[in-house]
Amino acid sequence: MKVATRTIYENIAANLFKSAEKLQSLNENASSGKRINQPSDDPVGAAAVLDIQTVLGALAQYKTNVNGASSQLKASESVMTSVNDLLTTAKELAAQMSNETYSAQDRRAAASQVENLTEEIRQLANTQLNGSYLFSGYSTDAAAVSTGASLEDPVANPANPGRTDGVTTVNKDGTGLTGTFPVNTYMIKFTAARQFQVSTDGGSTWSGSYDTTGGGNITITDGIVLNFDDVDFTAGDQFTVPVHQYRINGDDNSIEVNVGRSASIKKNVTAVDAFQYGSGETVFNALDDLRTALLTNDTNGIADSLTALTEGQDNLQTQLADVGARLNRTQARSDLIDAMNLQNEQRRSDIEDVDIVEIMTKLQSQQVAYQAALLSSAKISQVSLLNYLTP
Amino acid sequence: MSGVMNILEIARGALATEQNALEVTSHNVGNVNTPGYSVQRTVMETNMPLRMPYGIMGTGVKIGEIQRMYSQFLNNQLNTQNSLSGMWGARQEVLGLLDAGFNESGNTGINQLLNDFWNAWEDVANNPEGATERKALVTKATTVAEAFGEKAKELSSVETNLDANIRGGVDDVNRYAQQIADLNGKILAMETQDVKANDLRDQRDLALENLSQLVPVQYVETEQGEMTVFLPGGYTLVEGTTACKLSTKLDDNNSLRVMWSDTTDMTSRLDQGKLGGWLDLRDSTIPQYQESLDGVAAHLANMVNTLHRQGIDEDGNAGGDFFTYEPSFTILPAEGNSGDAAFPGAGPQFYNSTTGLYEYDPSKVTGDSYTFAFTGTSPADLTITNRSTGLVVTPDDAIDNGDGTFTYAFDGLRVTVGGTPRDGDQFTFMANRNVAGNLAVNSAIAEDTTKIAAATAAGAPGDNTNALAIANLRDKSDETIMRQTGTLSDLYDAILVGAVGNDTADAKAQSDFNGNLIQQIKNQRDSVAGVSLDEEMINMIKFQQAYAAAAKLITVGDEMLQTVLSLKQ
Repeated sequence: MKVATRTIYENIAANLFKSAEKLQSLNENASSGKRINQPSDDPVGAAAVLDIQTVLGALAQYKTNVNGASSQLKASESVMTSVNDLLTTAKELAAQMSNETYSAQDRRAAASQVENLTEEIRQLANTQLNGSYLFSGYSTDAAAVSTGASLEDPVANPANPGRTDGVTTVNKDGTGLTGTFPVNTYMIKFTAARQFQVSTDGGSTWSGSYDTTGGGNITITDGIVLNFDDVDFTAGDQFTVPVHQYRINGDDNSIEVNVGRSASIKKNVTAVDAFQYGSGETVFNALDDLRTALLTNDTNGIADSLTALTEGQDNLQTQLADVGARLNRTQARSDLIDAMNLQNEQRRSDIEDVDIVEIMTKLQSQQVAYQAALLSSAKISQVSLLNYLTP
Repeated sequence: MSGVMNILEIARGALATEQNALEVTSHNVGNVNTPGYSVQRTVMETNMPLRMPYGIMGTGVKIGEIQRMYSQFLNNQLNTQNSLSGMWGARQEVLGLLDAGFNESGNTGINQLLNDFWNAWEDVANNPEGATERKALVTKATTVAEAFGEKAKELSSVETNLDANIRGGVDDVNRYAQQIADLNGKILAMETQDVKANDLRDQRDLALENLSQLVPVQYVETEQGEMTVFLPGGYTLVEGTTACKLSTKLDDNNSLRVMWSDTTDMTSRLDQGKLGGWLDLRDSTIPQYQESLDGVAAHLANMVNTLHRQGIDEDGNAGGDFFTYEPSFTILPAEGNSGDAAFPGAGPQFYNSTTGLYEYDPSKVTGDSYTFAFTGTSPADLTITNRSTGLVVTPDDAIDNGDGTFTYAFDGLRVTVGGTPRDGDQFTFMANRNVAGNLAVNSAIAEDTTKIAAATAAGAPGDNTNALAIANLRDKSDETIMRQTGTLSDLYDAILVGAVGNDTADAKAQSDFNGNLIQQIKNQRDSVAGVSLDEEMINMIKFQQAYAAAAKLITVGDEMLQTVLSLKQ
């Protein structure tokens, strides 16, 4: 088949262009380090790489979230451990003071110690992390434990010879109270069937004279309102009105954060979880009751407080164990995220990155091929019949 | 005559013939690099012989004709492949640009920016009261919205540039068509029964070859030697010495159409050649990418806005829209509609069919576009299909207004249909057009980050449940856009990056294959029609030798004549 002159040169040009194009493409791969520089290089691979990129982006965020959760849980754990130790001290004091060998004097001294313990626990419960209250659930701008008095129904003292019921507290939620709590204790003693007196110093001195004839509400000192049934009491009946000085903010919401795809972790403990137990009882109330019992020399009351404190501490320790479990989970999650990161980076590299050795080898051989093409093109264009025809 | 005179006469004839043959050879050599040149051969014939008493005596050589070597079959093959090559080349060039723009492996691709956006919501969930995290969220959201806007701009500027290419292409077509028409005239004038205008025919074939790169053509040579050229559909481009002009015109929808003779819209018939490639890109491929981009942006905005409206911000107020959602509602008729359905009144609007208010409700709006298909001659005979899911939409309301128009309310939208359609008429309702270009963070939120609704209940600064819910949209895997279902990232990867990548790789592969094929055909054609300098050199030697021999004949004849003349003293 005849080969036209322009065929030769067109083919030379076409082949040189192809060779140069291959060289250019290999060069691009070598200098960028990537096999896929635009989607058309490998559409399926490009889509896979994007998928991995999404996963890696999410993993990085999950790591941040896990670290944040972990530090908050550790802070909560540390506070709760301190509170636990303080509760143990309180319990030991209570156990000690229930012993008959101690006097009312000793018990009053112990009461002041309990007051300090309670305040310390309150401050711990109001620990802040980065300006937000740790134990307040969603209400992070409000203290978990606030000062606010509340009352219980009067409790009969051990020295009470007659009725042990028949009187209730009206303003249990603290409305209308005017005193400086928690300084005082409030005791009433009946001097006659329908007459009683009030003591605010643990029974040392009695004052006032109140008449319960006909029953109904009576306001005694500092705004406390008591309601009496229309019954006769016995002279000598004594009651103590339990005063609680601290309230727990009722926000018990869990704060969740994402630590994996459809995996989240609760990163907070609320005051309700940690310090409240049973049906609304709190460790603060238990400590207040202990203090009141110590001030009023009420050994039964001291024994009851010990039981209450034990229950409260059990609850706290259960919560502590839960925090520990969650911390373990964050650690496990963190390790998992690291492993997945590595795996995905590996996958991405396999698809997207060039093997430098392979590329350099190919580049070298393509360069040689290009040079060979150039050389042969030069040779061919020199040979023609014209060289051999003598004029 | 015979005798010595015959010898001289033959020698004279031979000299002239070999000289002419050399002229043809030199013509070939001179045109070795001329594009479209077909090599010419001198066809030599014997002269009419004489009847002599002793037999039939030959009278030498003459030139029969100067033959142009060409293969019509190979030329036709080449022109067919040229149309394909023009189309794939045009696609490769334009798509290659878009392809490079979708390089997502860095930190600025939309895929990564979406990641950053969802991560920013997680950071807000980690610390809902934090102003830093909120500001960072607004920044990341703005970056994502701007990236969508940039991509939309890129696509739309490619569309505009294609119009420029199309105008240029139409001008070129007219130029080549005019060339062919002129050459038709010249060829007709120059040719006779036996004589062909070889060089002019070469020029005409070259013009045809160039034309076939631009538009697919069919051509036929008449008995007189004129080339009639047809466009697809039988429309004449060149007939005799007349070239029918193609022109461009903007139609009612601001789309540039290619017109034949200023009367007929040829746009959809030009399916190959560079013009075909550009038209298909502009009318089919790029709009598909634009619809995909708008779909992704619209779904993103609606997903986030729906949840954000349900949340509570730092002041205890309900959250507003997080992203602005501003489509340019457009209704485009399909080609071939024969009725005159219209969309009177205010056109399509946002409409909340529960409250009766004309307002945008992200929980109702789908962010997809729709097809209106008429099955009869009344506006009531309308079937609405969602283009993303492929499912028929049942309107919430279909109200007969009593004046020949119907008002349909569906998917948070409302449109009034009037006029007289025909069965089979279709319209495309682009309800999400330009959402990507207009996407932005609500300015109220950008100015005051306390309006970000991270909570679900009021008065609780640590409440992060809404922020978490929005962050979890990253994994919401039941979104459907352009008939594909998955998470928003999956969809972006598939219907945009994947689509562009595949289309580009396809165009490259086809273009390469076609290029190789054309090279093959050209090689074969040139083996018939191309000039080989070696061949011409050999011919030159051949004719030169013959010339020298014929000259020798004259010398011999002359000597013979001298001998005869010197016989009488």
